[in-house]
Amino acid sequence: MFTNSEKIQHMMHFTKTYEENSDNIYLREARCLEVQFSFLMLPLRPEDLFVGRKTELPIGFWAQNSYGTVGYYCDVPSLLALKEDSTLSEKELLAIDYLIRFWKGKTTDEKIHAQYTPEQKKLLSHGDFTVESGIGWPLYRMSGAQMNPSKLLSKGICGIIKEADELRSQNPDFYDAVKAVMQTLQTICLRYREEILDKIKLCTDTKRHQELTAMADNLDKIAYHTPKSFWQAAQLSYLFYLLSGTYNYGRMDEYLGSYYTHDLDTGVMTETMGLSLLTSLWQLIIERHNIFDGRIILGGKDRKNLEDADRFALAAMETSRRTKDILPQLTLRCYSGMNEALYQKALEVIGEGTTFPMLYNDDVNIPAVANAFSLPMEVAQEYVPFGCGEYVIYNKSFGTPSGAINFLQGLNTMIYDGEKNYLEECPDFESFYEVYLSNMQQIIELLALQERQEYDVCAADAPYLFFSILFDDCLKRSKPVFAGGVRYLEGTLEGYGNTNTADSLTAIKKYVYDEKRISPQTMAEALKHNFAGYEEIQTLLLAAPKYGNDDDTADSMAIRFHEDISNIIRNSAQKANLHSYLMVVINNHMNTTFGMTTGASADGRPGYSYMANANNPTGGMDTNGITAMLNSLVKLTPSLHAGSVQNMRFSKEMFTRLLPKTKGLLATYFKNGGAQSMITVLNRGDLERAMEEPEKYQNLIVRVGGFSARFVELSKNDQKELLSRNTY
Amino acid sequence: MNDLKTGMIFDIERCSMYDGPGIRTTVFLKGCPLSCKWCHNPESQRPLPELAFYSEKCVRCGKCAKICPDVHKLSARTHKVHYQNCKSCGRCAKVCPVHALKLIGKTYQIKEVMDILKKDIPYFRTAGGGLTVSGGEPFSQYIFLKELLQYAKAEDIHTCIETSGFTTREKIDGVLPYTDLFLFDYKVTSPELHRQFTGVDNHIILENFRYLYSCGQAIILRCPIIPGYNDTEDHFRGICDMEKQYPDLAGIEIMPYHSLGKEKAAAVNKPYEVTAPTADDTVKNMWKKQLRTLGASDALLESF
Repeated sequence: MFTNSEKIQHMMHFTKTYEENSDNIYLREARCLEVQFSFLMLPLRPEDLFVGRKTELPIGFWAQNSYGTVGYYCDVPSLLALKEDSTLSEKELLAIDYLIRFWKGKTTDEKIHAQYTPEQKKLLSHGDFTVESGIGWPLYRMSGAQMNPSKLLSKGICGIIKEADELRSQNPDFYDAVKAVMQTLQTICLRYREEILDKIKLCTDTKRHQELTAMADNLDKIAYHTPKSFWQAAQLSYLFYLLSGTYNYGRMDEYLGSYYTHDLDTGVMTETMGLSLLTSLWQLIIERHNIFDGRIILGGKDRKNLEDADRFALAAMETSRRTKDILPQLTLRCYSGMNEALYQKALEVIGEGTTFPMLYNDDVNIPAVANAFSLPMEVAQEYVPFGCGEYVIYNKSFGTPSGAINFLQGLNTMIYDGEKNYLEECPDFESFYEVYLSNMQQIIELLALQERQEYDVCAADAPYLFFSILFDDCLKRSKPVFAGGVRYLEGTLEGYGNTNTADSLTAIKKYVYDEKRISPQTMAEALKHNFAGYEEIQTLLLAAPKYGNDDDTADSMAIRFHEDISNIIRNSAQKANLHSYLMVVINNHMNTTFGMTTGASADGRPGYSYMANANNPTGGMDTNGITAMLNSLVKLTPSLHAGSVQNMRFSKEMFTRLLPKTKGLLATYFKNGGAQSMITVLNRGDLERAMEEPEKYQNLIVRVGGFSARFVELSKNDQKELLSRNTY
Repeated sequence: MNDLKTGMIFDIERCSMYDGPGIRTTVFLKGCPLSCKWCHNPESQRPLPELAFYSEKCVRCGKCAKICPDVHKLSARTHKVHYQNCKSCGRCAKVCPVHALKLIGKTYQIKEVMDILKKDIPYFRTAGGGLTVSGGEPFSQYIFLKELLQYAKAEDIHTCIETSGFTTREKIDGVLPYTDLFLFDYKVTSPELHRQFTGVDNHIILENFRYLYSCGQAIILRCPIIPGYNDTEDHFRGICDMEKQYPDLAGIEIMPYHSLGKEKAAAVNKPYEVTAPTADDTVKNMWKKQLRTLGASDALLESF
């Protein structure tokens, strides 16, 4: 792709541009982006029907990047790695040193660090969370922009430039920068067009020739006019998303649906062509490979072009069914009275083991969002999940989770991994629990403040122009997104270890305080030694009631902890001057990452092993069947946080022979208050894994003969027998 | 009615998908007057609690032997269970770290069972399910069965009994008002073979069946087919005859043999003589062919 010399040359150019425009953050970003995109855009691939590929370098500007930093960044380890290239000249090696020196103290991350109070420096964890243990961790990113490109599609690039011209007098620097990046977008369209025209000259394949000709024509059109076809609209919106740095693609059925159906109904495009285009678009999203984001939202009762949007949504699901990839993260907002064909299609696609679409329940989520975010229902109905499942208000709010908290580590430090054993200090469970919550509150408030600091530093550093162009009400207010532009500036905090913490509290209450079967000292010693020599204590702890079984003792503790901690986080918003600050109980793999640095816990979990995912039961601890598990799930109210994920795994048969029953199961779960469902349907390979790790497959139900059994409860031989059959 | 009444239960399975229509909670009552050679729940036959030992899971840690040295005899390589000395107290199972020991059978009050049932009422309503009482033979705990059904009906829960049919007319009359559906076993057509394979005569069973049918009761006939035992033309013909003779049945289902009972029988120290492997597709297809020739309906053929 690029030689290291070229990369160094580019980074020098970028750095020089940054330096030359230091006095004007608006122009600086516009110029830096122009330079960045002049170099980073990648050519189209032989099969591509859309343009828009890019790469990243160790120095640049992105709202969110693969180095885990935000804004202007300089990744020193990657730069040092470049030095190992023996073909580099002395001058180039010196250039690397210069770059590292130059950026020291200038990156957005470092500017955020500089804002920290002594308390934040002391009580928050700042190292590498993959190897060090800690409780509260700031994160650095402006992730999860869920933007509506409709304005761009209806006005076109030139229309936005015109809008900026008209508003210019209110904040000339800002609008000049807006114009500049839109011109950069225009230039990129034209440059890609040139590239395609060159390719056409060499193309001998008739079909590809036609495709390339159409693509070149599309780019010419969207550079100067509003898009007229589905293909053009999809091209323009994707390119904008790509340059903006977001990995989330908005409510695609709404903004593309009417183009899609118009082209189908007027014969501009066949259905086959439509699916080919979507497949190609999916491939670009897959290539970006951000598996934690990549959300495309479908469905929702508030869409304006319902019929068109539904038709597009069906095509999108079909595309994912055919693509069978981990991206894009297709998301379907379901609601009572929705088009049945959509729901049917969703189950069909899920049943094939696609894992998509993820099902969200509007009937529960809209009122929950209204309450959690303190917003009227008509605003709440525009909720969209991004990333791993955090809710934001489409095009109206920004809600980066710029922090993560390990509740279980927080609990462990109170027993054996901190200064003292509070089980000894506290005479009863209530006082112990109170100290725990107050410790958590102290850290949570520091993290809320950190979120505000991160927004403020970002705002002082750059206008984040692409976001500011689309997000309501930035252009109207003449204010960049993080500087008072976006309507609702929200914050979220990723909570981890929720279930293990709740189950640990249940065990502590039962054994240490109520029954006094385990002394505070023994508990601390057993955990400290990771149960070595204390196996019986571990057996006892594991036998304590566990969340996920519809058990009143365990579930009431889970409810209590969930509500208390959600409220503590929610109540921290005001102090940090955020519109809201909410917990997200989402699902990337940090439950495992954090688990690996977290010692043994009072729920019997061995040290340095994964924690339960989101607010799902600990793997293997839900032994009462799926209805019991679902009943437990719905007890944790969604109306106090900004999203959680409910992972469910079903056997293939649940989506074939038993589909009517499974539909009833899901319908009841949603009616009972289930907010959402992420469904995995398992195949043959999964049975093998279930044999190796049965604790993770407790609800995998198999048909053996004239009856069914939980796979993991079968003897090894029976499991092998089942394994030997064909999976159909 | 008294919801403090107790029954001996060896399992309660929530979200059961195969024991009747919709999503169900199946309550397995312990105790059965039959002793079918192929019984897939051998641990259900005895009416009282009993110890099960799953030898393949045992790691010979010796914790059980400390509690009960008369029952558990361990050497470096073996763990021998002396069932005859076992008082079924279950203390050994509680200390077993790998769940190789389990006490089968627990006393439940009707109230406790109802509390579990009620948790899934919304699922029953949406997916058309309810309570299934299975076994063992549910009628072997008649009083408990009847009252449990009564309580379930009082909550408007759909009820179903899975039975061998080996019981008395009076008992059937007793549960009829509270039972929506019977899953009724049809094991062997020949009376002689029935006696040989299950230990009891099928005369009473068939009489009970005809009585239920004449009452207009919803019945699904369930036919376990065991290679080498009842996979005979005579029995297949018997099944087809039943289908023709009783056109108002809610369904007939073929239940192909699986060998799960074998290890469970060993765990509770019961003999088990079926040697055939679990019926695979080849075997099933052969049965389908035979049944089709004998005039079985499509619905019957699609049931397995």
